[in-house]
Parts: sequence; C-alpha cells; structure tokens
Amino acid sequence: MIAARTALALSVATMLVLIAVTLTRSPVRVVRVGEPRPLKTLGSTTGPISVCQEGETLPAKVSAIRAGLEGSLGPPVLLRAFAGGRIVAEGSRSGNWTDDTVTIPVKPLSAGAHSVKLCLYVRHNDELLQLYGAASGSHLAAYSAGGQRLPGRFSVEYLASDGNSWWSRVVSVARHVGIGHAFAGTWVALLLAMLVAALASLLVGLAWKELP
Amino acid sequence: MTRMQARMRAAPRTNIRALLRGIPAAAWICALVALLNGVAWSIITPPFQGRDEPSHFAYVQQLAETGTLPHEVAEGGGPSPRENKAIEGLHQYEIMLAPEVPAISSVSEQRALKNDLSEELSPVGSGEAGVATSEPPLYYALEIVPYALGAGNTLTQLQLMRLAGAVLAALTTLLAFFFLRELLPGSPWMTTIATGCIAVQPLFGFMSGTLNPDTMLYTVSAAVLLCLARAFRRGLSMRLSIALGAAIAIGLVTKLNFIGLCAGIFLGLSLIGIREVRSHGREALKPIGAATGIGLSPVLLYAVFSGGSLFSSIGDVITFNNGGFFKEVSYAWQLYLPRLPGMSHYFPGIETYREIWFDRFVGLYGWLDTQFPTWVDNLALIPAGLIAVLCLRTLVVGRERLRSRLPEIATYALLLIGLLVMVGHSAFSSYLSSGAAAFGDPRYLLPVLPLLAAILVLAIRGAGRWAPPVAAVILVTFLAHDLFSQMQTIARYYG
Repeated sequence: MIAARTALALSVATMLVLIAVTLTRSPVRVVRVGEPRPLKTLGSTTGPISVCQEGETLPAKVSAIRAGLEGSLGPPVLLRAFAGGRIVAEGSRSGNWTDDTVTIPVKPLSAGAHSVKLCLYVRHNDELLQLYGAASGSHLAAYSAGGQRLPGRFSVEYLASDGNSWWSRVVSVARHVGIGHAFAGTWVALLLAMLVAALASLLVGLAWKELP
Repeated sequence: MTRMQARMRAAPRTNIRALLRGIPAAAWICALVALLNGVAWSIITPPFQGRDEPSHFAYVQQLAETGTLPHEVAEGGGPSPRENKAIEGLHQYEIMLAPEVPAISSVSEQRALKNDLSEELSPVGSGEAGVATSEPPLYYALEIVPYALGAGNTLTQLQLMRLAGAVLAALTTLLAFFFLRELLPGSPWMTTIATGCIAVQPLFGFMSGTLNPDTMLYTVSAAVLLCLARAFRRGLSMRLSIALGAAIAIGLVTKLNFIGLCAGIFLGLSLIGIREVRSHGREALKPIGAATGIGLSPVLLYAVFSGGSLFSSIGDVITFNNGGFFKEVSYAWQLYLPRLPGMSHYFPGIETYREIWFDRFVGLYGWLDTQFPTWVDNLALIPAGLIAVLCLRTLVVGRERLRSRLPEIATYALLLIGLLVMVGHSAFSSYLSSGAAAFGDPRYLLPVLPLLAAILVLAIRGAGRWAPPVAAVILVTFLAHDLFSQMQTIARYYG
C-alpha cells in the first residue's frame, strides 16, 4: 500500500514540477518577417523540392524558421542557411504536418548573420505542396536547384523566445482566454483552472483510495 | 388502481433507481472526471475550431430551423448568414490550419463579434452542411435540444451543444468501466485505474469538448462492446439482445463509420449464437434474431423517410473506388503498416504507423494544427513501449486461458480491423478526389477506446507484484498528458 501511494505522490509531485518548469520557459515569437503580406502561390508540385533564396537576414537566437509551404500530410523538410559559403543554421522537420506553413526548429545562433542564402529541401514527396510568398524582381526571386527563377520570394518568418516566461504572461493569457467565447470575461480562465483542478483532484483522490 | 397495478407502474422507476444505486462510486467519479475534462476542453478550444465544427453546426441548424435533412446543392452552398457572421467575427478561416494565428484577442474584436451576433440574420442556409451532409441524423437531432436552449445566440448554442458532448463522454466512460468489469473480472481496482486513464485521455477529451458526432459514436460503440462482453460471459438473454440491437440501431443512424464495426458485431453474435444453440437448442436463436432485427429495422425505416439517401451513402461507403480493388488494398495497407515489396509508394518519406497514428495520438488538437514538438512524440514512445511490453507479458503468461476466449478476442479484433478498413477506404476516396496524401486521424479509432482501457488493465497485471505503483504511475502519466495537451492548446490559441 505504501509503495503504491508513494509512487502516486511522487508521480504527482513530478508532474507539478514539470508543469512549473514548463511555465518558466518563454513563448516563441516571430522576431522577423521576411516577406510582406499578402502572400501568393509561387508554385506547386507533387514531387521533390529544392529551392533557395538569397539576401536573408538571420537574427540572433532564432530557434525556428517558418516557411510558406502548404501540405496536408506534409513530408519531411530540411532547411539550411548558408553564409559565406558555410552552413550557419540547419534544421529538419519530420513528416506529418498539416498547415499552410511549416515550422522547422534550428539550433539558435549566438550572433545574427547577413547575406544569408536560405534553402528548403523535400526529398520524398507525392502530395500536392504549394509554396507561398511575395512577388519580387527576378534577381531577388527564389530559384530551384536547376537555376530556374520563381515569380517571387517564399515567405519566411524567424522565431525566437521573447525572454518573458509563461508565468509572467499568466494574466494576459487569462484575459485572452476570456475573449471570443459564449461568455466573455477573465472569469472564464478562472473557471477553467477550477475545472482542471477539480478533475485532477478527483482522479488522484480516487487512485489514492482504490490502490491496494 | 389496485395495489398490483400501482406496483407495476412503480417497478420501472424502482429498477432504474436500483440500477443507478448499483453503480460503484468509483465509476461515478471516473464519469465525473470525463465530464469535467470535456467541459474544460470545450472552453479551451475556440468556437468552430473543433474538427469540421462549422459543418456539424450547419447540420443541426438546418434540422432545427427547417425540419429537413441537409442536402447537396449545386452552387452557392454554405452555412446560414447567422452562422457565417459568427465565423467571420471569430476569424475562423484565418485561424484554422494556421498555428501562427491566435484566436481573437482584443476587446474591439470581442465588441465587433458581440454586435455581429446581435444582428437579426437568417438561421437558414443553403441546405448544405459541408462534410457532414451525408451523415445520418440521430446525433444532430439530439443536439437540437441544446441548440434550442441557446435562444438564437450562435456562440451560446455551440457551447451548450459542446456540453452535450461532455455528457456523452461521461456516459462512454461509465460504459467502459462496466465493459472492463465483464471482460477482465477479478481486478476491480485495476478497472478503476484504467477507466480513470481513458477519462483523461486528451484526444477523447478534446473531441468530447467539440461538436462532433464522433462523441456519440464513442458512446454507442462502448455500449456495443459492453453488450458483447456480457453476452460472451453470461450468455445472450432476450433483455441483453434488445439492448445490443438498440445499440446497433443507434450506431447506424449516428455516424457512417459505425458500419466498420458491424463485421465484428455480427461475427460476435454468430459465435455466441453457435455456442448458445449447442447448449440450449434452437430456442437460443430468438435473442440473436431480436438483436439483428432491432439493429437493422430503424435503418430501413430511416431509408424510407430519407428517400433512400442513406442507402446511397452506405453504397458510396462500401463500393470500391475507381482506383480499383488492389490499389485500394495497397493504399489501406500502407496507411497503417510498412509498404510491402511490389506495392506503389503512397506515402513516400513517411512512416504512417508512427507519424500518422502514433504521433497524432500523442497530440493533434484544434483544426489539425496543434501538435507537440517532435521530441515529445519520441519521448512518448517510452511509456507506450513499456505498456505494450507489460501487456504482452500478461498475454504470454496467461496464454492457456486465452485459448478458451478466442471467439471473443476474434470478435474484438474484427471490430478493430473493420474500423481500420473503413477509415482506409474513406482516406483512399479522399486521396482520389482531392489528391490529399492521407486523411488519417486517430480520433477515428476512439470507438474502440474501451479496448485501450483493457490493454491498460493487462499492462498493470503484467507488472506482477509491482502492479499498484505501476498503476499509479500510468494514471498520473495519462493525467499529465492531458494537462500538457491543454497547455499546448492554450499556448497555440491564447499565448
């Protein structure tokens, strides 16, 4: 009996610590937008992709790069950023994304980089993928592996932690939760917190009583 | 009124009371947890960000406002002006499938939404209900009650309809509890822990907190599983056969995916029938006939009233697509399993069993746009693998006892296979019509959620003398999974 209840107590404590630690992390924000909106379709394919564009600026501490590529069961995507002929950032995203953008995590850079060539690669694909971006002059436009110019530059957003923890944003998130529902007000977030606390307490209490 | 008449009139009420009193407190608590979880998810998920929610709302609205079923329209199909206004005010189209776009956040947007909702707009649309148009009407007919209580306010109506889903989740959990007691008797505390786990399974909670006929399909499927388990264990009485027949009938007019379960159900009925005839003679066929007759009769009635539209829908479902039988089999195989030599490559670069079914089961909320980072999916392989190993250990150790229950196991296996085939068929149709790579969504497998609970009981048993602490860890893992899923969804929409 002691072992079961000890395990339960330790598991709950671990869960609470993990939640607290997670909330000390900073949310990821867009720190730089590559191309102005509105975006248009630059091209579509049901085959592999190898497309690059030059003249990008990579801000410091970027932890992910979001590109304007749409898929329904997105294939694996590789992203590489080159500066001065060497790779300065690289990341990949496994398959199974369903959005009109794909966000690829990269290892944060300690310092920013200018005159960056950004390349997107999809090796295996047979679904319809669409590349979104903005029109540009031919010399600035993205180009495929064969050197063929696209009608513009694909959209890129650079994401990085904004330095403020989730804890510090609790009130603003609570306010946001209270908007856009049938019943408006910050009390909605409080109600939600009470519901979650109640269900967790009931479940843990039940296990405490039932475990032999 | 004689005393006898009075007693007869009071009897059903007494029976229901006795039945409710017979439900253990642990089952009630698990059901309450599922209810609260569904309500929490209904608040977390912004209106109309549940899967295909605008279509399901349009179906209920069409039924409530015109008394007619939705139908395909040649041109200009769309929701009612009233629903459309709410969708616009919520920026639904900008938010869906775009994880970088949060839910509306400013007071001015809220004010504009409130003004939009107060406009006197028609609640009657084109008559079409998007992807829900071809679905049977029972779930939507029940949702008319909360719709009517919403007094014309679209967001209030939707919230009340979502709460009905949370109530169904509680009922599903209750049924799953009794299913486990029938299937794996002798371990009541393990039943409680496993039921508690599925009560907080986050995908189940998310679906329960949105407007979707899947929620009722889960309930009906749990009822079918309970009836079958009871029949295998105690024999098929007339009362039980009526309950099973009713569950089949309700399932068939709830969602077309229920057809996928029918092969398993009728295999189970046949196997029970053979056993009963051997021991009780031909009289035992009566309950089988009753279950089949009751199960199928409302479908025939509905077909008559809907002018055969149900048959055309079922026909669409069970007819092989133009792509041909072997292509379809190849596609369906690869949707779940690694490609075999000689098969065309339908999912290049993707391990479907892992990336569609496992990763999406770990977390895919909102309009298919809220996921965990890949490392979380990888981490989840550890507890999932441990549960699988412990479950296998129980099965191997108890293999002698399993032999006597092979007919029952075959029934549940065919239920699952039928569901997989059904989903594979729909995905292939979608692939042919739109070129979409796959429409694989683990929510389609939740009708067999009680079987997941059974796996958990077996895993706990497999831990031997460590079973109690292992059960505690499994329960908290499920709870943590739910809480982190809710946090991830809050971060996506409100962060």
